[in-house]
Amino acid sequence: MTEQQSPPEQMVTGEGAGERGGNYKITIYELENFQGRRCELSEELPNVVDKALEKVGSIQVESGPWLGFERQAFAGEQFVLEKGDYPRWDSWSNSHNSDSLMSLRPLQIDSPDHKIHLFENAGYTGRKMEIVDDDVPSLWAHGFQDRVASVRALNGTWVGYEYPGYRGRQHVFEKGEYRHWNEWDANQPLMQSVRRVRDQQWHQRGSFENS
Amino acid sequence: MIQRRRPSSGLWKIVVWDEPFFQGKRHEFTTDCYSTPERGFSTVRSFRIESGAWVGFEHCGFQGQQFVLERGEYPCWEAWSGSNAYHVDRMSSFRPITCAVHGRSQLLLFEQENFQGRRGELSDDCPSLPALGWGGSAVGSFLVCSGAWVCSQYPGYRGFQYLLESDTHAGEYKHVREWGSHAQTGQVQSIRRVQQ
Repeated sequence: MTEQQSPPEQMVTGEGAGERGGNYKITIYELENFQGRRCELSEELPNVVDKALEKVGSIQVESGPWLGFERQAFAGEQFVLEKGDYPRWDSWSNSHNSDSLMSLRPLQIDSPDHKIHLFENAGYTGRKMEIVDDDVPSLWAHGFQDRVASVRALNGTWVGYEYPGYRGRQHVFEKGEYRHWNEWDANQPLMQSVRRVRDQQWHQRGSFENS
Repeated sequence: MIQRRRPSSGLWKIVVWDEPFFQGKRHEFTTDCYSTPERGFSTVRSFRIESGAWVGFEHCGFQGQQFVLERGEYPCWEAWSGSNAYHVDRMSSFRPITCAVHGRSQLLLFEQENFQGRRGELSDDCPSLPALGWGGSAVGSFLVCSGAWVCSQYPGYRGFQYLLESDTHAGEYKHVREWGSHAQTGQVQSIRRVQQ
C-alpha cells in the first residue's frame, strides 16, 4: 500500500476534531422527521444559523459520536449523539426546559479502556468510586447516593446523568480532570448514573458478531 | 437478625408520593401494586427506589408505557420518562423485576420476528446498536437467555422503553406485539442490562 503524501500545510491543526483514523458525519434537518432544509457536517459547527438553518428539528448521525449543545458556541446543556436516528428534539434531550440545539462538535473517543473515578466532594475528596469498563445505571447500587462533586476521567469517554437509568441532564467527561462540578457546567453536584460512550469505528470491543 | 417469614420481602422496596419532589401523601411498597388508585393514590408523582429493580407503568394493570426503575431518587416525571413527545407525568402501577443479574446477562436479538434473520448476541450494554455494528435501527424478536434487559427506541436509552425479562414467557419475545401494549414498531436503537 502506498501512503499518500500530504503536504504539511494541510495537516489538521489540533482543534480536537478527533482525526485519529475515524470519520465524523452528521446530517441536521430544520424540521422533525428528517424534513426541511438539511446540512451535512464532518466537523464542528459553532452556530447552526451559519448554515442557514433556523433550528435543528431532527438529526441523523452516520458516524460519530457527536456532542450537541443547547446554545451556540458549545454552551448550555449537552446532548450526546451516537450513531442512529433522532427524529425529534425529545429523542436527544430529556429537559423540558429547552428544545434548542444550536451548536455541535465531534466527541473524542480516547481509548478502548474505560476508567473513571467519582468523588463525593470537590477537589477529589470524600468517598471515591472507581468504575472500570462498565456502565452504572444506579450509583446507589454501588454505595454512592446522588452526589458526585469531582471527577477524574482516566480513560475513555463517559457521560453522567442527573437521574438513575440515564435520565435528566447529561454531562460528558472526556479524558481529564474535573475538580468541581462547575467545570462540567452543572449547577449542583447531582449525578445518579454514568456510562461509557462507545463506537466500533474507534474500537471493536463490544461490537456485534452477527451471524 | 430476625428471620423473616417471607425471605424475599427485603429485596424490593419503593417509597412513593402523590406530589412531585417527595411531597404529599407517602406510602411504602415491597411487592406488586396493580393499581395505585385502589391503594389511595390517584397517581404517583415522585418516588425513591430503596432496593431492587422495578418497572412502573403508565396505566393500572401493568399497561401502557413502561419505565425501568433502579435504585435512586425520582423527584419528577422527567427522571423516569424517556419520551417527552408522549408526556406521561404519572405512574399507575408497578412491580419488582425479579430476574435482573447485571453481571451475568445474555440476550439474543434477531432481525426478523420469530427468531429469524440475522442474529446478534449481547452480554454488555449497547447505547447505540448502529454504532456497535447492528445493521439497521430495528429488531424483529428477542430471546433473553439470562437477566433482565431494557431496550429503547432511540440511541442513548431514549424514547419508549421495552422491558425484556428471562422469567417472563421463557424469555421469548417473538413479535413486537409481545413487547408491551405501547409497542407499535420494531424501532430499537439502544439496549442495556437492568441493574439489581
